[in-house]
Amino acid sequence: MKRDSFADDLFLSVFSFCLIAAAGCLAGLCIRYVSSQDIALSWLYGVALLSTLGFLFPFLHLGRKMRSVGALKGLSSSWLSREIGIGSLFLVGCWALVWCTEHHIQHVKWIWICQGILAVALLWVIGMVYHLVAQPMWFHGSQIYHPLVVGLFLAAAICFHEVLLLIPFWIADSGFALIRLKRIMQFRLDKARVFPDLYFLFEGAFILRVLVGLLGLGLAFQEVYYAAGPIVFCILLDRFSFYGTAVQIGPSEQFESLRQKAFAKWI
Amino acid sequence: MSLVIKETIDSGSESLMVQRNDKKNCIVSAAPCYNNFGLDSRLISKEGLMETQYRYSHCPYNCWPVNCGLQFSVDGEQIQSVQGNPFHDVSRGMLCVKGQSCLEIHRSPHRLTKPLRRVGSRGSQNWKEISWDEALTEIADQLNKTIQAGEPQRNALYHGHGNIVQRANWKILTPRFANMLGMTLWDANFPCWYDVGVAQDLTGYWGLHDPTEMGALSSGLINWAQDPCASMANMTPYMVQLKERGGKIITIDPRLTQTAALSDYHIRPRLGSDAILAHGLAAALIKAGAIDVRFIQDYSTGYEDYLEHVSSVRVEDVCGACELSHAEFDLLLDTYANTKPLCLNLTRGALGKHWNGVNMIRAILHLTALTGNIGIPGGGVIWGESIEFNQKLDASNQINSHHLQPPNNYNSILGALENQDVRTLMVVGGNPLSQWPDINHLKSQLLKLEFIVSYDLFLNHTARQVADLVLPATSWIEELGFRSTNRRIYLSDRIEEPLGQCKEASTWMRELSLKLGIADYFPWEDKQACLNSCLDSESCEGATIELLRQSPAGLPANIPQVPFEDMQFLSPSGKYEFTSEKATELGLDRLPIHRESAESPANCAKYPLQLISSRKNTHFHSFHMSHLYVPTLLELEPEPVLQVHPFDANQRGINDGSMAQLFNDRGSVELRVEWSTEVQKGHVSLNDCWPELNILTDSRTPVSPEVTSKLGCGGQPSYQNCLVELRSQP
Amino acid sequence: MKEQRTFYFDADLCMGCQGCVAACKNTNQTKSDLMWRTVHKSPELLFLSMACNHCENPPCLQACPTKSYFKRETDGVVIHNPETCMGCRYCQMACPYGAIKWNPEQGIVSKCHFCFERLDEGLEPACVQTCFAGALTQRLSSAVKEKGCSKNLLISTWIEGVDPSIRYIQASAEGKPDRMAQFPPPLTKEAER
Repeated sequence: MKRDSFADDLFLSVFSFCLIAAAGCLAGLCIRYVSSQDIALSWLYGVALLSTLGFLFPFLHLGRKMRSVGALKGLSSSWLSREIGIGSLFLVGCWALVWCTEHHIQHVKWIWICQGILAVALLWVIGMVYHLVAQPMWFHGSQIYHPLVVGLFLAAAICFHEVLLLIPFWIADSGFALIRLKRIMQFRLDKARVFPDLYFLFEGAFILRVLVGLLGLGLAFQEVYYAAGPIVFCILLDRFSFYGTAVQIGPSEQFESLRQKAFAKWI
Repeated sequence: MSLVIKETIDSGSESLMVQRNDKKNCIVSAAPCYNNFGLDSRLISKEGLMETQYRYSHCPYNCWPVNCGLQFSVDGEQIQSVQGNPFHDVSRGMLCVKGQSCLEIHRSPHRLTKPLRRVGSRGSQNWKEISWDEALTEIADQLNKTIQAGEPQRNALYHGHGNIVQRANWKILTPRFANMLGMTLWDANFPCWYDVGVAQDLTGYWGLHDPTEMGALSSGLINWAQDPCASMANMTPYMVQLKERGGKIITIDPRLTQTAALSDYHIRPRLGSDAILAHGLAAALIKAGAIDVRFIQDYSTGYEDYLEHVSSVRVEDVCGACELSHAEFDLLLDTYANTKPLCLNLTRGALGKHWNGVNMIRAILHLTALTGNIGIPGGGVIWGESIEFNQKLDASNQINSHHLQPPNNYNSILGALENQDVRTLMVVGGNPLSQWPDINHLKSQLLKLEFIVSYDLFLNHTARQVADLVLPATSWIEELGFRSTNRRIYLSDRIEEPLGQCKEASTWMRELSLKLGIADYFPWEDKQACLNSCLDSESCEGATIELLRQSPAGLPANIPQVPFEDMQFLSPSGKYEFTSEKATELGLDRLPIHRESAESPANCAKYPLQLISSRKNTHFHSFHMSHLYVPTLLELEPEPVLQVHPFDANQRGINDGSMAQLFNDRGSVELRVEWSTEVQKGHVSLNDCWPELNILTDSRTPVSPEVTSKLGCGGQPSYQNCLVELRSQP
Repeated sequence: MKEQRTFYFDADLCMGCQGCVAACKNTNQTKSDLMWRTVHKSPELLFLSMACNHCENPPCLQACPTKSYFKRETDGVVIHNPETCMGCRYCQMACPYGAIKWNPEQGIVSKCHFCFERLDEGLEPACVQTCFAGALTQRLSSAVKEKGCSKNLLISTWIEGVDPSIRYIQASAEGKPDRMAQFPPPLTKEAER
């Protein structure tokens, strides 16, 4: 059903951006740690805060917050329940790493490895949460794995030293973006978009992220991790365009489409 | 609780339908098995079977001819819920969207609860709460000014559909009040059906068939300018029944309506060409010999002149004038010729509100007569109510012929306002500033009145803009009354006490009449005794409130099984009149003639669009402030929406869903536009609940007051002849 | 094969009166702007009345993190538990039919529950009971394919794997519910002239 206000979805865009950015960042930090590099505390704080925001937003969004303790009951079937479970562990792990680093605790490698695995799992589960048959725009492989792809792009920017190694990630990320753009354009005529009047904005975001990714590559020639900034912006654009190009083809939308088709000849 | 409609138990000589509580293993209510066609007997539920868990009433709207039955689940004196009355002979426990949400009216926080007095100018919405005694004293003083001057007719009382909800009020108690006080009495018959009544009077035939009979017995149904699916949803099961029996339904309507969508065929003639079509069909039927010669010879008059009148009509001309194809014409012809019994569901608001309405309807009625469908089961016309009440109580014998009361004809009504022949107006359950035509002009005339009172559930459009005093009305649940279908009489029970200081109409009328020195307006000991007197008629044959209370399935009325089967028509000749000499005496056409209306595209280039009104299930005229106070209905129909054909909208650069300005010389309104092929090119349509409609409609009224004075009907304004133009909003 | 409560809809009969919408509201006492059932309209005035389709594999049930949905064994009716719902609205995203409605005042969702309490009493659901045209009916069905019924109407509502429990009665279908049994028999004798 067409909606007039993007405000609610903006809220959801920001929270999922926080989680993807935090997970991607942490995956990169994890590889740096494992290859015996120093990890600045400020980075860990950044990741922990991003994760916290990523949890706070959806929590505040709940209608009955106190009932969220039951959110793990659906682990057997619900991807949202799984996201909450994995994400909760990830959040705890982030603050554990902050504390350990601050207090110079030794032998935390196993925490880092667990966090790394959780980060990758989280990126994948975020994709699966939106794998809903009721959401035709999201119900596609280019969507399921895109958070993982862009998250790993960010991780690569953080942990690699060789800029050329980033190129395949940029290609993969841009490729997924353009596949989704192609899919979204097929719905333009059907007028099945939730936000049909803002299509130019959201479609533009797909193209913009390809260019921003390219900018990131350019910056990476100075210092590889300089690409992290533009990639984080790519994640924001990704989420923004993800929610903004939602499509529904339930009965209301199909009847509206019938109307449009019936009246098209009079225009 | 199980509801077992079909289970019957034999209880002595009677068969009962029962409603059983399986958990308590008892029967909680019982009602007679009935058959609409005279096989049942007067039946009283057995003592001990009834538990006071259910109370019965009727839907508070005024769909016509049949209102749906309501069953309230009550806990003590408190209503818990409402559902349809499963024992009702027509609605059978079903309710439309309005009936389902009716409790929202009764419980609305916007209901008036105290009398209000205007403070400041009219329309300022500055009100002061006063007592009933203060209110009635002031009203008495105002009415007395003209009563004592010997001109009581300068006090007018208009009662609308809101007062018709209680039949006793409409037919007896409110007219009794007005007549005893010598007031001019106007009512909502004039906007509703009056010109159709003229047509029927001139033929002598009043229809009176009912939908249940149509469903069970008719082989075909023609909805001519009628949309029962929208305006009387409880007719729908009977149309479906007819179809499932192999019958055929044709709807003749320029609009694609809900009824048209359900029908087997939909014919869309040019707006206003119905008389031409009917004449063409008559000519073709006569030529083909597909007429009931015996009926014509034995039971009609004026056929020869009518034959001469239609014989020159050519099918090609008819098809061209009506903008129909030969195939469509042939379908109608074949239906009239070969389908019997064929029932006609006859217009009220569409053709009756047309400049040429009387003639169109007469021409259509003649087809039913020609084909011998009068007076046979499953034939005839669904129109009118057969059950009459004790009209001797309406005090019409007290009307003083020396007091020139402007009759219930809009020419007279508007004239009386314009000439200030009336000085005061009481509006009882009505809303002129939404439902009478040409509202801007009407308002300017109403403002000339010295004193206006509104009695209603809510502060409606009229009360807000022109009333000096507002009186709070009881809802139907707070009043004892009765309703009827075509064949049965039902109780409309008083279930809860009146809210706040709300009073029934007859209660304050009694108090007011006492203040004016009339002692015998209400000679009964209580309302129940009053209603028993109202029920004392041949049709009601011994029905009393006590008996009705024991009969959720109502009581059968004493009316002919098949209307007019005795072929005794209500005309001067006692026969069906194809040609009417009475019409000539009244200054009307002797034979039905097609005329182009005064406002017709052929006559006016400035306003090329024809505005017609439509009905939807989510409203009943302007009841309850255009349903703004019924949340469910408001959610489903939140604002006025003008249906415009995409061709017309596109030509004017108006997008689907955008706001536009609709205007003519009478006024201008802003509306949301919906592209729709439910209307044809050149038509725009607006639901009639919205006052925006009547900002634009025409008050020209084709039938003269003299006709109304003589016939007791006629005087419908030509609402449906209205030309407009549309432009997009900047 | 397990029996499943299924709605049957006859578009030839539905006249779009929305009585079903209001009956549902009235019976379940939902708020004024909370409509569990919707009647859709095509330009040719074909209507579709739809609420929850009580799918055989309900996406809402699978999606809910707090397990606030359950599907009755006896008749497959899908019921939402308002006591455990945390108001995440994920089920709304998951439902292909827009059947799940948000109640901002209570902070939870709600939906059609097939009037299961009425069903258990032997009554029809409110929407079915009030339908003047008999367009909306329901029964227990164990058939995957039924004669005279189709899974799609003017629009496409069938989703393989979700298996919504709604069937569309075709014009010439056999086995339509016998509505006429509730009406009195007609007179057998015609008036003679």
